[in-house]
Amino acid sequence: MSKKPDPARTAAAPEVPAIGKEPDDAELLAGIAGGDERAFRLFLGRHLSAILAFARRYVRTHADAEDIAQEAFTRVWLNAGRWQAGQAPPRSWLHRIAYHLCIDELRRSQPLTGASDHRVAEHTPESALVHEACQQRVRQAVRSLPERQRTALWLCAYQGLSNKEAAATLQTSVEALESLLARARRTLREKLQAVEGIKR
Amino acid sequence: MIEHHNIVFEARVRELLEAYGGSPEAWPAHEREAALGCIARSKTLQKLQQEAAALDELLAEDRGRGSGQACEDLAARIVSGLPARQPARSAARPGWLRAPALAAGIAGVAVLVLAFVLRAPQEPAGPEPGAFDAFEHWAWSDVTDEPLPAATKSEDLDFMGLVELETEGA
Repeated sequence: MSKKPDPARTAAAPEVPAIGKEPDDAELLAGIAGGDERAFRLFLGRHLSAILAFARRYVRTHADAEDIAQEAFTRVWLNAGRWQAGQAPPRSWLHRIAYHLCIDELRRSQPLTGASDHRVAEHTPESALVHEACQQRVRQAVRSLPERQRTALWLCAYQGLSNKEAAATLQTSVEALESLLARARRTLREKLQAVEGIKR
Repeated sequence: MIEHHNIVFEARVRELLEAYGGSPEAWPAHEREAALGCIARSKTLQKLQQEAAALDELLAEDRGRGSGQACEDLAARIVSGLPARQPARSAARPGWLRAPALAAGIAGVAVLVLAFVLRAPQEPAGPEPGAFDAFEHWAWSDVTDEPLPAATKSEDLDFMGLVELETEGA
């Protein structure tokens, strides 16, 4: 794969709106489709953190999550012209790319069971350990959910996507998304009954 | 009627709580206000909202984001690793250049189609002349006990694999 040196590629690109008006994601994607690296940088800065966190939930290591995020944004760079406004919101499109990469990665590697989590700190005060143990339990419970329920929950509860964006990411209807979410939350409530604050 | 409407909407609020949790910000915007009104009138829904909020709280503890510096480093790496790509076709090539290319393409396809038609082998028109006649003669003798006409040769019947039948009948 040849690397970037392509100074002329921004020459014919559609202009990102002038400074002062914050371009929306659709405008940025149009700019990226025309080869505008400034638009790409804005889009990247806006969504990288969320995509990294999203990928981190699927894979074992932070490095794997970074690889997925890098590949996802590289695909945005290469394929922004394929995004169509009527089909899915830009955030859904981006999350869908990342989602498919995560699923591919999961198929290649062992599925996450939540049996151990390297993020648990070993030398922390007792209260922090209790807190961490609680977090770990929540993580394990979430990870034990069926894949689509888990992803629906992550998209809505953690990624802050609207129901329409999340449904578009999963390529399903809003009604089906609500069903996935309700089943996920019901299961979690049952699994986390013993954790403080959760009562049936 | 109004009571029926309230019951229906109460069921919908339950669905919202089950799917999206206890935080009104997480509910679809167009249903939020009505749902809040419905919850304000129902002790049962208020309890359900509290339970949903408790789960939200637990989930929120696990909501992480990449650290700022780590994201900046990764962003720099992503940008520096971007593959070169041709600008979008519409931006890269002026219209006057596209029209001749399109015409040349169409002409090329037309030439290929013409060449294919001219070189294509002719479809056989049907069985050899006389073949059906021979079959008809044989079929005729089969139902009338009349001898096969002299003109019918065994090779005429062979195409139907019927030589043996002719032999048996002789």
